[in-house]
Amino acid sequence: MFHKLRNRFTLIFVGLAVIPLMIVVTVLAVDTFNDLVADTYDDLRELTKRFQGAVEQTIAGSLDDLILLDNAYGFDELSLEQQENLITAIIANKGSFERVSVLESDGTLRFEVSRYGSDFASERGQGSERNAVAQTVIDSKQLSSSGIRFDAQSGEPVLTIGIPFFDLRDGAISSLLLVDFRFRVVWNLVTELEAEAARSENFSLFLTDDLGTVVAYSDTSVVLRGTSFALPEQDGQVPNLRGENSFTVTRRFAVGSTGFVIVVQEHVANALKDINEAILTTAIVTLITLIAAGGLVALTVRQVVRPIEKLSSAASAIQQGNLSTRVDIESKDELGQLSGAFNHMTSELARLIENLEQRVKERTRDLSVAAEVSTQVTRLLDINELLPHLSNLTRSQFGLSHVSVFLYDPTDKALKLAAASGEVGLAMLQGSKKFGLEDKGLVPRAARLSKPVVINNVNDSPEYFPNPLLPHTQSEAALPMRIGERLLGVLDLQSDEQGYFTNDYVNILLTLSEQIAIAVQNAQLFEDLEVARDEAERANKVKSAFLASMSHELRTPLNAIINFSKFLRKGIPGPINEEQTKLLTGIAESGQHLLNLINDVLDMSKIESGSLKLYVEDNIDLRDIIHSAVQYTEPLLTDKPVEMILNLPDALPLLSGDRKRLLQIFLNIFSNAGKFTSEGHIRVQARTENQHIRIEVEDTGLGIAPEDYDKVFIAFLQTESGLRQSGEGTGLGMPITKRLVEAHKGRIWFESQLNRGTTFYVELPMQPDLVAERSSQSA
Amino acid sequence: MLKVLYVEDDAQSREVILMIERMNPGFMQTTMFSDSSHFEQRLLELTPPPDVILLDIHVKPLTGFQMLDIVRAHPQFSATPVVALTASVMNEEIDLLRVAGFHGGLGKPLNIDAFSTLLQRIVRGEIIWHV
Repeated sequence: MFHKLRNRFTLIFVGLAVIPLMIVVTVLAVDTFNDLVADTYDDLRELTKRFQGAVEQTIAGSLDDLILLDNAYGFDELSLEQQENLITAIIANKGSFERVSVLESDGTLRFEVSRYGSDFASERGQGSERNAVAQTVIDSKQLSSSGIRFDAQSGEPVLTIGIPFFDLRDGAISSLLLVDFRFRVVWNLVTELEAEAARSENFSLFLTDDLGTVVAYSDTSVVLRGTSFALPEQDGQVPNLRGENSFTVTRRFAVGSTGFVIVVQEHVANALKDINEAILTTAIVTLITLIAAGGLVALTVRQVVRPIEKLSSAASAIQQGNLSTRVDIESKDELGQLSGAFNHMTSELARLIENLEQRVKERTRDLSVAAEVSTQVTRLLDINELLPHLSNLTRSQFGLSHVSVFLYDPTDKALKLAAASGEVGLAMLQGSKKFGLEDKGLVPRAARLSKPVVINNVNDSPEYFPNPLLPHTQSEAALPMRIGERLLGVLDLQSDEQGYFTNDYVNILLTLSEQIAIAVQNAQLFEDLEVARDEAERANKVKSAFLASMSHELRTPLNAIINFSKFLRKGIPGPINEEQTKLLTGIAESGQHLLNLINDVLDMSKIESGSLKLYVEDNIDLRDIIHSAVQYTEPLLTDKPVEMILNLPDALPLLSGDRKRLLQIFLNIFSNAGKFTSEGHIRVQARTENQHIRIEVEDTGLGIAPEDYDKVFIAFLQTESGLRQSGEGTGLGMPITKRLVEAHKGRIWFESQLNRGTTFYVELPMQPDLVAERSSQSA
Repeated sequence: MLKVLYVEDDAQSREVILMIERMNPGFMQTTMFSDSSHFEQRLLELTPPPDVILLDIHVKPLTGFQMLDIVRAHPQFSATPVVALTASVMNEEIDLLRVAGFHGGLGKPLNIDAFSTLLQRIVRGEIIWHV
């Protein structure tokens, strides 16, 4: 709740304005109250003082006359009758005495006079209390008094006072007066005083004795009843005689030895009436003030906070995207200014965004058009198709009036028109339009600068050379097509509208021209590729034809050389001697060697050019092949102490392969073994392992030196120990064998020890997946 | 005795066939054409007609293929094996020969020792490509 300005401010204001006010008011009220109360007590105390004074005076006043008797008259000197007359006179005069008894110094009664006459001496005159007083006076030689008692006869309260008369000569008591002071006098006094002082009904003034028995009160029935009042120890609030809570002040005093207590009470409610009124007034005033203050606060806060709230909610609205929000703060102060600035800012923002959105829309559209042109164009690889399509597409998609594509020919530094849109384009192409690199005009300039050259109003520009075929052009842009540093050409774009080629637009078009450059390059490369490929194919064909004719030409004479010499050796035309046999053998062998060489070269060429073809048959029994190869090899070993040993299982799984080539493999290996073994054996073993047939050919020949291991399968390399000795190898045998094994998806490797022998291993899969032509005929 | 027709323009190669004849007396008797001119006519004139025809591919004016076609055209030779003799071992040519419908092929230089056996097998109906 406290994060709202309004609430905070309100709270602050309330705190600042109201709370001090409340505090002050409260303090004032309390003070006033206390003052009023104190005042009340003071008033009451005053009254008690006055009352005391009055009572004392009344009583004393009454007694004076009697006391004066002693001093004035020398009372005891008088006769009894005189004494009586005096006393009677005084009683009759004052009316404040009930009776007066004159006693001897020992306390015996001399005479007694009552209000009702002197004859009315009663036995009751010698009450115990009176006696006590008399005795006290005799003992103390001082005035003494009794407590207030109610006279049996009249029922009235009386106070017995004993007054001693002294003998002037010796200071002894000569006589003693016992005066029954009628307390009614005091009653009257009380009533008078009360009437005087009373502010309302709820004011009481009375007198009690020491013990609290009420002895004088305006309501005499209270007195006659002998009501007792609970004397408080201190001034304070106690119930009055009617039971109402009252401010009570008491004052003790004594007349003689008679103690009295003056009680003055004011009913609290009465006393407080004023106070309450005052408080009420104050409270009302305070409340009104509070309300007023509250109202002011609210108003002020509102004044201040509301505009801020308005601004805040406007800002929120804008944050959520409602840019049409405005703040209507009319005041001329800072808040008003702020709102003005705010509104202005918002308008600007809205405008900018709209602007931006518009531009983005436009650019997006342009880019997508460019992208589309690029896509279409890069798909074409035929440059003759590409460029015309490109020109027309660019023209239509970008709403241009004309598009030309010039390709740069570095050999003569010219920009030659390669494609142009529309009918006009055709005409231009026929005219073989071209620009030299140094010529005037946008196109050559763009090429030279390698930067776009734009004229947005051709009428203004001195650089522009109108093309008679394109009279409506108002703006033109020439964009270089570059790949990296290399210039491929220039894209020339023309429009009927002025100012068509804005900076943003040109940038997009430049992107497009880069794409076009790539497309052109691709097309060119593709063309080159085609040419190269054609040439390669041609070269290949030439090579093949060459090889074919070479093989044909070379082999044909060998037919004669080899076979004639063989024939002669057979002796069919006639017997031949040893020497002739030897020579003829030499011829045959040489011829064979040459044939082998030719075959190997052809094989190698086929393998290298990847045109080795296997004529695959199924169900080939390797044992047959091995036997055949052994047959061919054995003649080579006739003049050497080398034994061919065959360790073949009774049956080998049949496999698929090229029979001729498989024979070739083993012929090669065996003849190699035969070539390099001068004594010992060549052992051929075969067994099945997993899904393979493994053939091992072990010889006890020269072996292969470790440094020659790599050379074994490389064409035309023969090991040192090899060719020197036999002179029969072509250097191609092993490489060809390896390729042939691999063509059958097999493996070939060897282990060798110099001067001990070599073992060749051939592993052929039983179910090779041979990609080759399968002969439909089986042998 | 096998009646053999051999069309071959190379004298030495023809000589080799003769050698084979002498090596295998009574095995075969060969009629030689030294070129393929008037092939069809000469073929039809042969009596008795050949049991097997050996054609060198690279003869003129008609090539081995053309001669094969001519042989095919005559029903009396429908069972006669026609074998190509060629010194060329190029895959493409071999393929063409196979596809063309020769009953076999023997590569030059000929293996004179194996020749008779191979020819017998071919005559017996086997297709042999020994190129």
